[in-house]
Amino acid sequence: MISYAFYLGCVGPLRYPDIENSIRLTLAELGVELLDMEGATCCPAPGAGFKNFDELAALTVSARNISIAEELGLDVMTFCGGCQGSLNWANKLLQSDPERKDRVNELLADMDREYKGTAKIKHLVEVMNEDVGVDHIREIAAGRLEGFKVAVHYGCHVLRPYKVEELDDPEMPRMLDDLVEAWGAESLEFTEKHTCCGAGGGLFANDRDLSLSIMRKKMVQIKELGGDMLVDICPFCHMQFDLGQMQLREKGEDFSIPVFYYNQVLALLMGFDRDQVAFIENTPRDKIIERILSTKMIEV
Amino acid sequence: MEVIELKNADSDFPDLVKKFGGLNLSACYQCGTCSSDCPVSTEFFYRVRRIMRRTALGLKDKVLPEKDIWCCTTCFTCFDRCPQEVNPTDVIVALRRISAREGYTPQASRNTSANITKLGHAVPSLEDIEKKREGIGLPARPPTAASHPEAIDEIQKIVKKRGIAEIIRFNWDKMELEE
Repeated sequence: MISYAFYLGCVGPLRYPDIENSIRLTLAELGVELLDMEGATCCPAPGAGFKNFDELAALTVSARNISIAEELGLDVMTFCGGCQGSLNWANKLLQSDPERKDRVNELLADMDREYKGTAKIKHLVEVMNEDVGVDHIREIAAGRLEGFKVAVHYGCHVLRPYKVEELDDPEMPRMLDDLVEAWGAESLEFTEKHTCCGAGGGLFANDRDLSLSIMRKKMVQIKELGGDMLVDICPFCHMQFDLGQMQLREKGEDFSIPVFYYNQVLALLMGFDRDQVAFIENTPRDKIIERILSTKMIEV
Repeated sequence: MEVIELKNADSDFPDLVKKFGGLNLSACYQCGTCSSDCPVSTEFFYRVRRIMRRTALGLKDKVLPEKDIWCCTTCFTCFDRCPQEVNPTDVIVALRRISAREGYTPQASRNTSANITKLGHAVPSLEDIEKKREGIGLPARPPTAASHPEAIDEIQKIVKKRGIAEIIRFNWDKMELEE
């Protein structure tokens, strides 16, 4: 069994605990052990938090979080693009810059902590691809979602900047597409497929209308293509799509595209109860969940 | 067309931006890749290229007070595609750091850092969500700073040593932002 230090971040556990639970339940069954990082904090937000004011403060908060995983002797698994972006940026910068690392450790010494730089930071999509494997997902799903049209959304900070993330081609990534196609579903191609959700950098709160207008472009295309659902791998992007569609409805524009975190659909396919893994939503998912649950295995 | 008077420019400004993290600013040759790739630029007259040019010319009064630098979603598309490795996102973040020190930060961006200072998290824990967590067998609060007050003390030590409270005008007695 492979083990990771499970980095929770903020929006996942504090707004969408059903996403957190879907990850805990599915990964336990798929042979990935997740150990809690006691006392972890905000990552602290790549474009909306301390990084806007002071680089060393942002690096130190990230390094403090990473040091908790180092004490456990484990690599970190994040499940949010923002957390991945913050922690991986800090980790790689500090691993390659001894002077910055010393300055961070001076601040951490004050709290009897030390950042060593021994852990790797991996996003869940990497763990799903490399530790669990697309073939394993294909066996579990047994073609049940054949005929389903899925719009995938990676989230910027999972892939960019490439020189930090070095995970998948940011212009034409495949990791999430492969995981969705392993369900038997079709991953849609559209021009806004890899556009930002519009929530990052503080824009979600700084200018809600502008933020929504960026998100809306994606919804228009998914609707036109007859997309059955949107599947993401970042709780903050997820909130933008889920809550954002409700806010657009209030302005008179209804897209009604159900939004899921990847592991929520996977959990349903693995037989977990909807009330455990997919029950917090502002954009209704009842019909699509019924459809998912009524599918039959067509190939093994 | 607007005439730009360079006598009003601050020739030290580009160096200040570099000091705050926009290291490759002077490599920009104004090709416009950043603006054409930007998800925000299709929604209003927001141009990364213009921010790079004005910054390089030292026109700080046309950059620091503008809302533009706070509209970047930090998607890093321009960062990855810039042929000159200007890293425009880094330049914009550097401009935010300078702008914040001059008091121009939007309320919402100050709020996020105030939350991290008070709670160790960017958003507060809510009673409704805590009940939902318990309903699915998770602890009401996650095993993070939300249930470890000593973790918040550690974050506050970092905030104090780095002067973030002063930059965002956070009042330690009231534990909230000043107007």
